[in-house]
Amino acid sequence: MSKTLSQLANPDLFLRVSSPLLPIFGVLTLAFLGAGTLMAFFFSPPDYKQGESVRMMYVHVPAAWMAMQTYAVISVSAFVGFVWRHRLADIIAREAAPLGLAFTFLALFTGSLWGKVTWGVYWDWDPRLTSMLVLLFLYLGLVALWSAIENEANAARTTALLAMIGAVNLPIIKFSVDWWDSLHQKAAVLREGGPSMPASMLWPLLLMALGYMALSVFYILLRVRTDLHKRHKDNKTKRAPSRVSLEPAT
Amino acid sequence: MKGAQTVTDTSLAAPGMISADPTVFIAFSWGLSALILGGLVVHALVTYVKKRS
Repeated sequence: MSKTLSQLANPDLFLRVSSPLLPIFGVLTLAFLGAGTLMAFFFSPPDYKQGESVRMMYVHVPAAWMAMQTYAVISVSAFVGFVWRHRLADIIAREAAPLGLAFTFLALFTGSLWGKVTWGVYWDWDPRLTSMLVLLFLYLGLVALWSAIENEANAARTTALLAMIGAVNLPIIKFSVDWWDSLHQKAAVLREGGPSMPASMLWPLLLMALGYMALSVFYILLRVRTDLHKRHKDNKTKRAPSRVSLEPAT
Repeated sequence: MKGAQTVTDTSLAAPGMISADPTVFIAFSWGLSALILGGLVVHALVTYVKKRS
């Protein structure tokens, strides 16, 4: 397994494979978000209870999903980096953190606006909202740790520990609405028995979610490639190697 | 059937509490999402082009 991971974590291979993927995911992002936005505003009917405010769901729900998914990617990358010392995994974990932070902030912010319109309050210490706030603090911790620790290897190990421990929060977020009495509504898409919402609302939601997902892949590929190119340049000025080295950047 | 569908049947929303015109809230939600995510991508693209050249 370690050998396979080593082959996959080869930076030259990563640069080669990600090169054609980058424009593909760029186009997918624009296509899904464009179609999702059109459907959200022109094809989705107003909700019979929530009225027009349902249109906030189309940015709130995908942001919340991606906040959790990005943290899962970070946790797995951190685990691989921590156990097998693969620098590429550490780089992925580091570069994904600001994006996850943005998604979590947007999920909380748009949820807060929706709460004001629907519940009459911007905030409530509800289990779902509180566990999402904990996720925001975890992301802030990851970003802060990466910035605060100068030695790259030490920063990777410390942030990996936080990322792995923090993964406990993911099932808490997901099942908080089932485990405790919650003001937040229960799952309407990812639930037993299939989605409970009509197709006219499900389609814009799924298209926006796919757009956010494509954007995430595009962003992470771009950031990791930027990092590898920077290392390549740094190494060139030091000793002119023929391949990209993953020695910690100075 | 316009106006007769809901995202969920378990919503605790009380009809009387729902604001009559949530337009500003919708614009703010979509605007901020576009600004933050668009900003992140543009920043990443500019950095990528700079580092690559």
